[in-house]
Amino acid sequence: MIDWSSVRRAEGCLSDLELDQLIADEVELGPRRDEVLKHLADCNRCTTRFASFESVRVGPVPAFVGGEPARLAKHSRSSVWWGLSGTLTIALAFGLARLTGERDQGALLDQAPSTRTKGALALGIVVQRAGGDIERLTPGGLVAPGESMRFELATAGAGFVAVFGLDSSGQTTAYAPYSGAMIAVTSDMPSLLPNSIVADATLGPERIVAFFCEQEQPVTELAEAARSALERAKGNPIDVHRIDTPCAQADFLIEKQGAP
Amino acid sequence: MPRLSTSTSLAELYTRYGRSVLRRAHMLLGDVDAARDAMQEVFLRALNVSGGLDPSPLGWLYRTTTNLCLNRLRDGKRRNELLSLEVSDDVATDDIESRVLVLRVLERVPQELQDIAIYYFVDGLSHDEIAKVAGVSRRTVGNRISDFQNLVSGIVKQGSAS
Repeated sequence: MIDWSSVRRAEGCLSDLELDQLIADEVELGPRRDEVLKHLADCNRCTTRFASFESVRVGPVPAFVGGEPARLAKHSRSSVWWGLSGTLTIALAFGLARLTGERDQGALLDQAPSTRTKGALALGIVVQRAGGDIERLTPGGLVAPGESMRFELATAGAGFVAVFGLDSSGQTTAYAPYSGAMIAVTSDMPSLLPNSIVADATLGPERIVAFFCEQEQPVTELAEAARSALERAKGNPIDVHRIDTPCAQADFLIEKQGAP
Repeated sequence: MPRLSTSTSLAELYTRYGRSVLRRAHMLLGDVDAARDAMQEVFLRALNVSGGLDPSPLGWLYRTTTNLCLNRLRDGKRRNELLSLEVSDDVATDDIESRVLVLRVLERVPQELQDIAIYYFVDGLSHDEIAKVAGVSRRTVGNRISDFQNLVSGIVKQGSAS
């Protein structure tokens, strides 16, 4: 006897069509959009699926479709996906399943532009603008003082992570954790680090550096290694590259500019 | 984000929906090159849709991609790939076994049931969604799912008996 209830995806989880509709921002989703977004906020499985769907890259538009009219009926739409705010969008906006996506989608994936990865670690950053909009940061992306950022890390396995900011005033700041021991990660699933950090008034380039260590390291030692690297680069975060630690490293250069 | 309008180009359609089509083709065919080839054909077919595509063309793209991929699988060249189709990691292990079972028996059921079964069991679409995508009534969807379940139960029973 077949248990048909076990064959389908878990009851209440979103269908592939709904996830694709969200990604394409299809008007068809209509009033159900809010329910879908709420479900995504509460369901890790669907959030991961969503990220996996989003991480597929089709490559440049091939010559055979260039410029040809598709003869689509006119239609107006009201809501815009990126107009949403809050943690939900932050979680969804990441190219968060970089590593998971590679496992699932194989050769369908290119390098996600919002994610920097080296070895066993991938780092993504999402910023909440002063007006509330949520955006993915690409390398070199602009952040204004007062805007908040969150970090997501995908690791190749269990271990410990920490994130630091190296700014143009020569300061090294621990972003995650603020204090205490490194953050334990228990699987290879992408994880959104708790809490956000608010960009301070120090303008100019800042390098966000994430470490992934199989064995836990004292945060103070990692911070010291980062500080020394910044010092060797004469305080210029742009010139900081590999930091001497026993850990995998991923980094992301941002530019702090203007008023909030 | 591109918006659909009378001036929307096929390139824009490709940019907006390409990954959905490619992911779907890859899921069904299990091969990247074959999936890209199928995707290309789907967008070429979009050029020739009489009266133009709906402003929410995802349903049409789903249906066209599914039919195209099933036809290719049915051609026999990729029959083995259907049998070894990998179900993505987003389901629990015990679910995977059941879903793979569904996929394995798909080729033994009529085409009109195959499409519906994929939408329902693999994509997790609701009856309403399937009705829209497949262009049939909700009642037909329910009947076909029921027919499919009966047919598969019979196949499984036969397998157990033998």
